[in-house]
Amino acid sequence: MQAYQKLFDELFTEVGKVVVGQRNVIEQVLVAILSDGNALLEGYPGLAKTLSVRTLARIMDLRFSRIQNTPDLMPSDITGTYIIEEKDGKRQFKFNPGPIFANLVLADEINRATPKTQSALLEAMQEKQVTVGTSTYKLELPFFVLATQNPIEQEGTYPLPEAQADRFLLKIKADYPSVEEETEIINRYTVATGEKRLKVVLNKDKVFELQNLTRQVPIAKDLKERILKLVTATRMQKDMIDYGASPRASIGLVVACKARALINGRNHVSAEDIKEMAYPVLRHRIILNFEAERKGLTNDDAITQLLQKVK
Amino acid sequence: MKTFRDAVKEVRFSLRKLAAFEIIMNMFIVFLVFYLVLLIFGAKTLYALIPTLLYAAIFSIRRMRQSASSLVEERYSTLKEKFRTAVENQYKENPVVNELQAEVMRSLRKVEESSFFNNRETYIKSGVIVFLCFLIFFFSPISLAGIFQFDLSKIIPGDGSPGALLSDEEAYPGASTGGAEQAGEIFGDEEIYGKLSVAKLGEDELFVEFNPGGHEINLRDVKDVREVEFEETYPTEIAASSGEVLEENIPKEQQELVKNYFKQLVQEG
Repeated sequence: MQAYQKLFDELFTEVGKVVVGQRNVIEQVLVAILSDGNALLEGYPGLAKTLSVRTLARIMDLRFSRIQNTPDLMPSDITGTYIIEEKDGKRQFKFNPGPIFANLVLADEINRATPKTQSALLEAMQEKQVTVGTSTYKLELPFFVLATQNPIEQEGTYPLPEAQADRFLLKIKADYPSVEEETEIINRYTVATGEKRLKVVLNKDKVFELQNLTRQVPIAKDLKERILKLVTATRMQKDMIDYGASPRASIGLVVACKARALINGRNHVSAEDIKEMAYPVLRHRIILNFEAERKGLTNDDAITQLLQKVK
Repeated sequence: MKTFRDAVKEVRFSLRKLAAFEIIMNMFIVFLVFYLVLLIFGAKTLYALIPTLLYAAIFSIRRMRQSASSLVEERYSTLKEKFRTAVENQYKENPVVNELQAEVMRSLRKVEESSFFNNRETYIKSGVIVFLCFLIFFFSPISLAGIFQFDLSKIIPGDGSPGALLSDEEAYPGASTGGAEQAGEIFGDEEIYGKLSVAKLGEDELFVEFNPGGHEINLRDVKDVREVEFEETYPTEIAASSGEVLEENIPKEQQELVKNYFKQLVQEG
């Protein structure tokens, strides 16, 4: 585990050469990758969301692609389409894969795409394959989608329905950097410097190995029970929550805790992991009732109260 | 080389040994307390076993349910969460679990059995047991049932006090016959004979029969004095002689001198 921790420390150091701060965001993105899940990243513009994912893709030697979602984006713009190709005097249809055929896909502002386009992406996320016409094309593993959402300027958007949002393992919140971090950003990016050379820390095989290792991290029975109690509490707390989390949340929380333990160099899950991962795993899976919204409660506040109850 | 499972079994066995010792000590105290209370109030002391066995059953089950992992983690914070995770996953085989078990084994070498033994509590309990034993020895010849007018033997069968098991007549046959009845006419039975009691020496019963002496005079049996003629002659075997030890061999001519000396002493004195 010491060796793995060194690996992750090196990874964070390499990312830190390009991205200042946002350690939490990088860690949670890594958790999603190791858990073989996808993440929804919510944050204001200019918080290095795209830069973080692109940098991670470089350090992990994974193919990266970016999809800028707009209301006029079609599903074929994501999955790919058939084009007519002339070869040896003959014309034939050839499948031209779309940007989804990558290892790390950044789907920017997913809530701007139409539900039809969103569903094409979601099919790829869930099934790790794409259906075009009558043909099904498998996506290259590891496959990870990081979708972003802007918490402001929601007019004319198509918010992800609850059922679709449930397919994302984590909903990561990117926050503004601290004053020191912003000072560092200014110092770094206001002077003329070339593109930073980054070392490849992980490769595809290593990523598979780490994903496998994540599932092997043991968790104590009482911690598993605490996770179960927390998730079931989201369904029982009718004075605050209209709709609670599904069993997918229980699975997701266990795996996310294991991934976090591995990233932190531990060979077991601790209560601290549950406390940290409860927020990104549950915040997009619960819907507060009117009374809670009227009181100004947020999803995170509701999760805090539930964590206190199941201690 | 000891495996992790062997180490866990050893830890569980050690903790159960200590728990058993603690329960046995507490059982002694419970037994002695109840024994003392029953002894003081004259009840059958064997019934002290009932609360003792109840205590043993309840607390044994409680201690069995307490997991060894939580006890060890409480004492050794370095093993917190690790030990119980390793124990619960001891039958899994993968590199992460193996590493966790190896780490826990290294930490378990520093775990000492004595750290789970509360010396102070044990000394106090031993002192309490000794004190209770002394109290029992002290109270064993005394029964406070009479003093407090409360006889527990009426609720819980007693140790053979006559009131509980036998009637007075059955306990003391003949105690109310003959002269006793006549005397009872004048003084009342209790005043002459006192309260019938059975002397107790420890747990042994001694039946003490009070024969009222001097009261068994039956006037009907009184007869005239019988005239007896005393013989004038003494038996020949009765003879008195001076002790030879007192004889002094003083010559005859000096005997007069000794006699006059003592006469003079008498006259002067």
